[in-house]
Amino acid sequence: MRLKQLSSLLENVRPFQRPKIVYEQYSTSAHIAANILHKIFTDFDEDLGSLSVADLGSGAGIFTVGAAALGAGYVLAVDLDSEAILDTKQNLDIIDEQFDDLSSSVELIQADVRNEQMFAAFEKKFDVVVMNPPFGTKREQGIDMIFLQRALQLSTEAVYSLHKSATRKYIVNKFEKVGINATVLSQIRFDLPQTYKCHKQATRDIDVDFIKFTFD
Amino acid sequence: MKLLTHNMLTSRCLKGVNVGYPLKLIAHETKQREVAFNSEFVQKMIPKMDWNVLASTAKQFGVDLPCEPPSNASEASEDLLRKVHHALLEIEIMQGELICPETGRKFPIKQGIPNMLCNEDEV
Repeated sequence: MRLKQLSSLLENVRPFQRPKIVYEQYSTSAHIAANILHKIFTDFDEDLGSLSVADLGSGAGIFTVGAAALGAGYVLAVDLDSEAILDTKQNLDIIDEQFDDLSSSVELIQADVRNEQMFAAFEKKFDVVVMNPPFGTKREQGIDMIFLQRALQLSTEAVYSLHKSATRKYIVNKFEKVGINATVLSQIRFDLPQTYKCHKQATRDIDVDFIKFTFD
Repeated sequence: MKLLTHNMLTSRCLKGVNVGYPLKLIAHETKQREVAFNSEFVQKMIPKMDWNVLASTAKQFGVDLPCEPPSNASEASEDLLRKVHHALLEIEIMQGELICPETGRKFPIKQGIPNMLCNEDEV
């Protein structure tokens, strides 16, 4: 599938209906999601059929829909928020109607990524994790690192994730010490629309790194 | 919920639960859903699964898998791989519950989605 095709398919994915600040919910644009997913697609020689993919903190489900569209063998979406889960479910239904049961390899579960015990039996069952974790800028500092650790625990090949550029040095150094390579693939300007009332400006740009993590 | 997912879920997050596996699966409503077959995917998944749990859960839905996993998944017959594929991905539990083997705590499955959240006083 070409990048352009993927991007236009992902335009069908609807954002959060009622985003919640406590979970730092804001939607990843179709353009950004398509670019990230397409990078995975090319890294795996344009054949994701044998891949098991997890999307942690799946939100409205744009990565999950995209991974399914690219033909991943199994896609697990995890979110703790019931409304986000329903948003994803609706998005999958919309996509299935338009694209012939495209999401049949997708699984959706409601669970808390922070809960280590919950995910113990998921360890190394996935080839790839793709996610846009909460950045940990609101009420819960360090949540981004918890997501990252969980993702690294689940995957065998690579983790593709988004992180605030301000934390780049910290992340690269931290994981280098334990034999995990963090490669910054691109820097994206995230235009966070005024989703939440506490943002005074109409939009707030932040710099975000698209990072690929691999094991030595 | 697919049986592949069931194979990885535990209730170990609950206070006082040691193993919490396998979760007993009660299905009130199931459906079959066709998923594209990929032999490499199934071959890769077989050693990652708890075979006994998969075989006994599949049996609940009328799918007979051998008692032992193929010793070398790459040499398994396509017939067997297709059967495993069906068991892992094509049986969807739409309504039902997952029950903790130690405490009896029920995790509901609604619209095909298991809710594995625990309350604060349970962890």
